[in-house]
Amino acid sequence: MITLVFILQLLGFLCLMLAMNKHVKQAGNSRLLTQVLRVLPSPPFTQLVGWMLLIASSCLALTRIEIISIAIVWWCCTLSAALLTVALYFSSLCDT
Amino acid sequence: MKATFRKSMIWLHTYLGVILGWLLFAIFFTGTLSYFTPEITRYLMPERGSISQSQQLMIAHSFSYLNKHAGEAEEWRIALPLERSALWSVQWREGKQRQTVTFNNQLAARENETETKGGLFFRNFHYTLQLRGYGGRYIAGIAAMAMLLAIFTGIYTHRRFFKDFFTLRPQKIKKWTTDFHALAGILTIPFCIMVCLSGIFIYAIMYLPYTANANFERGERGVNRQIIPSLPSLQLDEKVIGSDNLLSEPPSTSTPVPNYAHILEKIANQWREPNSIARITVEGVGYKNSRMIVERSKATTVSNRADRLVFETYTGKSLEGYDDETVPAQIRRILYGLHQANFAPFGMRWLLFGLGILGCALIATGNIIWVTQRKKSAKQNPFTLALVEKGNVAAVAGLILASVSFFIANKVIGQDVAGRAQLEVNTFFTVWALSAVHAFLRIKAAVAWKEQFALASGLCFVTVAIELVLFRDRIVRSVEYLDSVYLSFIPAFFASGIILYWAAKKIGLRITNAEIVAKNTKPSTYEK
Repeated sequence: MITLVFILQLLGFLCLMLAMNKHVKQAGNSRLLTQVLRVLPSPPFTQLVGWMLLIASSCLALTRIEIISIAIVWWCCTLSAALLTVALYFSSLCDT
Repeated sequence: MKATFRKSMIWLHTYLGVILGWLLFAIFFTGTLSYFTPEITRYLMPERGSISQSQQLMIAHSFSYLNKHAGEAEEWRIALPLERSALWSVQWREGKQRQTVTFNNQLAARENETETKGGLFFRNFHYTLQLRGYGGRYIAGIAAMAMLLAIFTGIYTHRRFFKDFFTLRPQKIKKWTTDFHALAGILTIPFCIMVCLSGIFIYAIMYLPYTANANFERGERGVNRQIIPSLPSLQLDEKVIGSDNLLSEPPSTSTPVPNYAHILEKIANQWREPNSIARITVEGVGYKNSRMIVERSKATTVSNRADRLVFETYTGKSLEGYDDETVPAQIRRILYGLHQANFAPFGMRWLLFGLGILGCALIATGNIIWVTQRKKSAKQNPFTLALVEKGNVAAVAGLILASVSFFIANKVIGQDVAGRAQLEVNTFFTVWALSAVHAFLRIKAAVAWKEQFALASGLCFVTVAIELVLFRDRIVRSVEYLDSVYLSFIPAFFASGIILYWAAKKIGLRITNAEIVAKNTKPSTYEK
């Protein structure tokens, strides 16, 4: 369950970053992200999808983990991990 | 006051970091290690193997042992093992004297336990700075308050980073360091606010004693008495006789056996998770109105106070128990629980550990950025600059070195050496002091960074080697019982060694590159 929450957060941040012009340039260094960018509609819609995915991740954590307080801690921890992963991935694209 | 609000915030952020950075790093680093306090203690005590017995069997054995050896005691306590600690013990009190016995997986009492401070050393250092009674907790509290301020002022200082939405620029090391500092800051904002705020709240009454002293008769104690519920005191008059006991079999010894089977059955219907009991206390042993308090494990609550049920010891009848805690007490307990993270399962614990390490990196990079910028501008007093630059080495690399040395000291000091626990602590502080001396003796701080990281890396590999050579039997036994807690320390040290070696190598390369650049630029200067 937590893995799924983490994946949703990861995709959410990816969408948020791809909705920004600055990161679209970096994404050009990745074949995969170039393909993703082709599929994605306009930036505001991508941004909306990003936020929706983050909200979905929190709903999933809160409904599927029995104890709400522990669910919140889990969500916050995986949020940081997802953000770090996406930031490091985009930074690695700057190198290439 | 600076010209603009932002400039004032930058100034405050910078100097809070420079003045308290070393202290904050020490508190954060040891606090991060404290997420694994019971695991570290277990690793440092070879006799603490995993315990695979069922809770029912352990409770039965504990009561039978207490019955045999502590029949005349006034109070019994049974602490059941968690996978993390593997500590199964019984304790009894006769008058003011307390005695404790621990058991192993074969239900035998352990005779000699390794004398060590274990993981508690890091935990206690984290909030007392080894200065308990000398203001250590006040210093830690001030540091926590400063950290909170540094976080909020940091948001103003690095606001461009929010605009750029987390970009690390890996081409230039100085820019990368600033970006990483900001990224680590953002990632750890909720974590840092949580740990600093909860840390302050734990000792809130101690930090602000005037309200408690003005409004309560016995100050802090008076507040605690008012907000923490307790049971009414026991009036012990009538001793238990055979017919009072609901046990099917009459007790064979003079002290009656508590009706724990009946109580455990009741508990199993209420607490559904496996190994739900953490601790059992029997008050007024041998008396008719004796009571048994059963405490739940903390796996199901963020609070540091788990549920407690109270029963009549010899009839198994449920008693009224504790009142609900007041809201302030609950808030304090939740913050305390969040700070300690006893509820955290394995994965979450590692995530929190990772956030702690990021917090350490945040503080360390902050101090490094200050030195780099001051060097560039050449405005800083050279003595202050050298002091901070070399102090950074001792505070960061030195603390890592000292911590690894603590583990090695535990492994190599003989079991029968008197005062070995203190020797471990002495090793920690001696190595830390030597690292400071080394850093100040080196002309270039970069060389000191490289050498200390390389040494720390080497010591990590030495720890693995010591474990493989001297504790082979323990490893074999742990593999047999699938003792993942103990076994995970070996790859953890190995991985730490590799990371530190990588850091040392990177710094070494930078030194070489800088030397090449310096050689190439010098002749051209003369030519001019």
